[in-house]
Amino acid sequence: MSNQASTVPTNPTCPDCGTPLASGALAGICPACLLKSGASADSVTQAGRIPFIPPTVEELAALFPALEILEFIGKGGMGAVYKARQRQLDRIVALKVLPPALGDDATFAERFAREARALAKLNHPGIVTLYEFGHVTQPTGPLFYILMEFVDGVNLRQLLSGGRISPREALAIVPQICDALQFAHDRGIVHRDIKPENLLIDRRGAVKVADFGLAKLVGNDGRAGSPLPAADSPVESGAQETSRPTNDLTDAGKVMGTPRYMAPEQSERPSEVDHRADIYALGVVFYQMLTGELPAKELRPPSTKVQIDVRLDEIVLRALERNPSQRYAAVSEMKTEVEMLEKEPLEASSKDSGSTRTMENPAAEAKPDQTRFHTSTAIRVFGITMGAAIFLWLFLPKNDGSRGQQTNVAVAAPQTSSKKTFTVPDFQIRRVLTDLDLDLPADLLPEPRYQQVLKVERTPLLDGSAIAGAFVEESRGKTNPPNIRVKLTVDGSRKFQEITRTNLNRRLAIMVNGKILSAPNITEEIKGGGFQIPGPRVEEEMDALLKHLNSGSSEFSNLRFGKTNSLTITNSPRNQPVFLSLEWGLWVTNPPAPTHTRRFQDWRRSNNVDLAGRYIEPGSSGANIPMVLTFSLTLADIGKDSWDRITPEMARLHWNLPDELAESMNAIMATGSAGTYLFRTERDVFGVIEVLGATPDDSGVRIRYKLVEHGSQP
Amino acid sequence: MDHSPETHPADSTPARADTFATTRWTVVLAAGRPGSPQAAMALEELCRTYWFPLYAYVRRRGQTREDAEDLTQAFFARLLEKGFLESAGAERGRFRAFLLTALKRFMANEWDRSRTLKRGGGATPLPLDPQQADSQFLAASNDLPPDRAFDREWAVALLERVVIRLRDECVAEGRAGQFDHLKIFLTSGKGASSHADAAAALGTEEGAVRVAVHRLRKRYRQLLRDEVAQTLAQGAYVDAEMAALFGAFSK
Repeated sequence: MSNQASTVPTNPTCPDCGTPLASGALAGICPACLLKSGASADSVTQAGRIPFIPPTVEELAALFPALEILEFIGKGGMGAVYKARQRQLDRIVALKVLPPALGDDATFAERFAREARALAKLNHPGIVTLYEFGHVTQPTGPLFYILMEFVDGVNLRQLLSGGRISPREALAIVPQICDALQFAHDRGIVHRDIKPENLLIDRRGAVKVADFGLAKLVGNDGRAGSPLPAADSPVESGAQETSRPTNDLTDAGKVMGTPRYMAPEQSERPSEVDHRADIYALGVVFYQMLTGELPAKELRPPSTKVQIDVRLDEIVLRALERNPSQRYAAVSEMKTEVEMLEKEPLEASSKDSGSTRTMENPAAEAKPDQTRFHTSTAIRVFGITMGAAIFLWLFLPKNDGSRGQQTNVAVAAPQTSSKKTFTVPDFQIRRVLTDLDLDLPADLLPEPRYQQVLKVERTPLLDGSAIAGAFVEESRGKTNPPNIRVKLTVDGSRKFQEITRTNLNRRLAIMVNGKILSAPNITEEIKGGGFQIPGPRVEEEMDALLKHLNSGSSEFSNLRFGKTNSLTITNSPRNQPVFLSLEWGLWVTNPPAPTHTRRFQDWRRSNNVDLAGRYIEPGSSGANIPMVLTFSLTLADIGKDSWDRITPEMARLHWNLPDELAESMNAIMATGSAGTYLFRTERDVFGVIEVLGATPDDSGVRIRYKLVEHGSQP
Repeated sequence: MDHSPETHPADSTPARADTFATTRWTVVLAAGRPGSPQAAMALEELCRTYWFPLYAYVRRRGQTREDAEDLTQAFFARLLEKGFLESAGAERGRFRAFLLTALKRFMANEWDRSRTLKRGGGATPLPLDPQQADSQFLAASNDLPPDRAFDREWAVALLERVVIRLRDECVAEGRAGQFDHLKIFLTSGKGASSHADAAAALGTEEGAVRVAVHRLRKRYRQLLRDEVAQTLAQGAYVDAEMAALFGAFSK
């Protein structure tokens, strides 16, 4: 039966590689070429990158008769730079030509012109002046160019490659950059691509910043979804103003495309990028100038690497805050602090207030003149986070206060060295406030002008809760109502993390014995995005709770975790909810659900896609950052790395909540919310879910979860 | 299509349709209990995609059309049985390798046509159309060694699935026509026509075509990687697996 070879038609083959072509879905497409094309771009982000071969001096000379093209200077992702002479003016200029592929985008010319006009207004001694821009026509399409001031000197990259710059030199360079950036920021222009290649130093030591706004123009700043074919090219290289195309010291061994100077939000939330991204990048440059290295993932203060004034740590680390709101609000502030260092030698400033940071543990030390939070022994804290929607409800023992153990909490008041100590009875973790009725201390309240937009929504506070009040700037108040949010983790580390987008006034307070005690003006001693006070570990808490409950009841016995399911949640297409059946660990798409809320409820009922909320759906926002919209899950943040420490009993017991609290919530976990959460569905399915973070290509969020099962079940 | 860079990224990024966002083979393996519903569903899904390479392999090993059908069905039935997956040995990491090894073992040791018949007269766990299977096999016939042919057909099955997914996404977004005109650009072969031709056919600008092609290719790569990852225990081996599949086409 298999001998019908004679009837086999001769298959067409691929004109490129000779592989026989298949039929069916692949009709007309060569599978080998298809596979090759899929594998050829070594990463998704490199896809479609069109290599740019800079024109030769001769080619350019033909295109620019008014110029005498003197020499090729360098090439970067955003074009090639040549030294040229304007014949009429007899002026030496730098000519930058942009990669021709840019011109493929129909709207590029218009955007280019718009951007260039804005840049032409940046007349500042610290900014490379733009003389002229436009495009010349060549057979292959328009060639866009920029004619600008020629800086006779070196760029910072070249300077760095000669070795570490002395702190003194760095301190001379950074304020100049600050000035230039502030000038641009005042005019609403963000550079977006600050890096050593773009920082030019002329023969007199004057610093000039080059390539303002170009990153945005060519989509080279991590903005996703840019329509340019070449826009996927990462920040592999930029305009290397005067850099020779020689080897680049810091590039050695580095993966190309690492966004080394890019602020986190530039890749994570490109639409939110503002001038503070430049501050971050400047922080990286500063760090590199001081240490000769780029900041590692585990950020170490420069003073731990090299012998420098430890106060520089403060400045560099603040610029390098992951969260823009914790960086300097303006680059001029950074300049002021840098200059302050020069004016006040270390010895003088370290006398007052004992603020000099120890080398061993710089992050644990407070900023000068600022109050520190201390914990003496342990703080029995359970926390809650609302607003962003991660909830932790604490089990409320009915006989609260009946126990004798005490925990001491010490809060250091500001501007004084005195400590106040409060005692918190164990397990008196009470839900103190449920409504808007927050009895906030006066100094925690925002300025009157903010008050009208202040909105505090049903934020239950517990003893031990800390409050990070965040009040947004007036100008943003209308669109981004401020929140007071509370975040405490059960694993005993109290993290005062960034909670809102733009906080100018941050105050902390702590709730003890039902009273909010403020620590006014404790500006955060936050370094590296967190602020932690060591405390009891969660299992101690939970073990004690278990004992306390004296729970011999079968409800809490014989529990175990089911299998761990690891998944990636991606955005669903066209706002179409796709549900994860928690029990099966599989996606449920059928029958298709309506997106309209009310019809959706009906649909859930009629299809028994149950109201118990055993399903979570990927966020349907279509936003660039993958969002996970958990549906009908009640979540409790138990801090990172709690996955293995949580026992089934903990996960189960934790949710012994009064019924009225067990309502369903929507929770949005953005990529940044990696962490471990306990959850409970409406139908009392309990479990632990861990958000592991985004996939490398940012197309989804990786999670894993496990359900609490009764041992008696199969 | 809006080309403005000011557009919110969401507006210009193709919607993502990863309904199988988890790695199916991982689900199968991780379940540990092959009888569990999620493992069975995931395994079935995999088998539905990759039945043809197996069937063709069986044919190449000299089985008649009817026997190949029965054998393939019996093999899948066996595969879906409890306990069978526990035999997955060193090949656990890759579904492709696992399946081929298991099939070889099955052909060598277990399969017995008479027994299969006894066990239920040809259980058909897969909706396998004999006519289609046969013609597809004949069309795909070549002189390659069976293992090599298996890999090649596997790659084709995988690519087909990717292209179908890609097309489905485009259709869902009302861009079916666009897909049909632009799919040739998924490969960068010399045989491909120019962007200008496609632009003319679609009645749009060449620049717009380039952008659309760029997006399509990008999405294609994502889907391809995803689909490859579906057959692996760990996503980290995607590149190696892609290289292996590509190797099946080398001369």
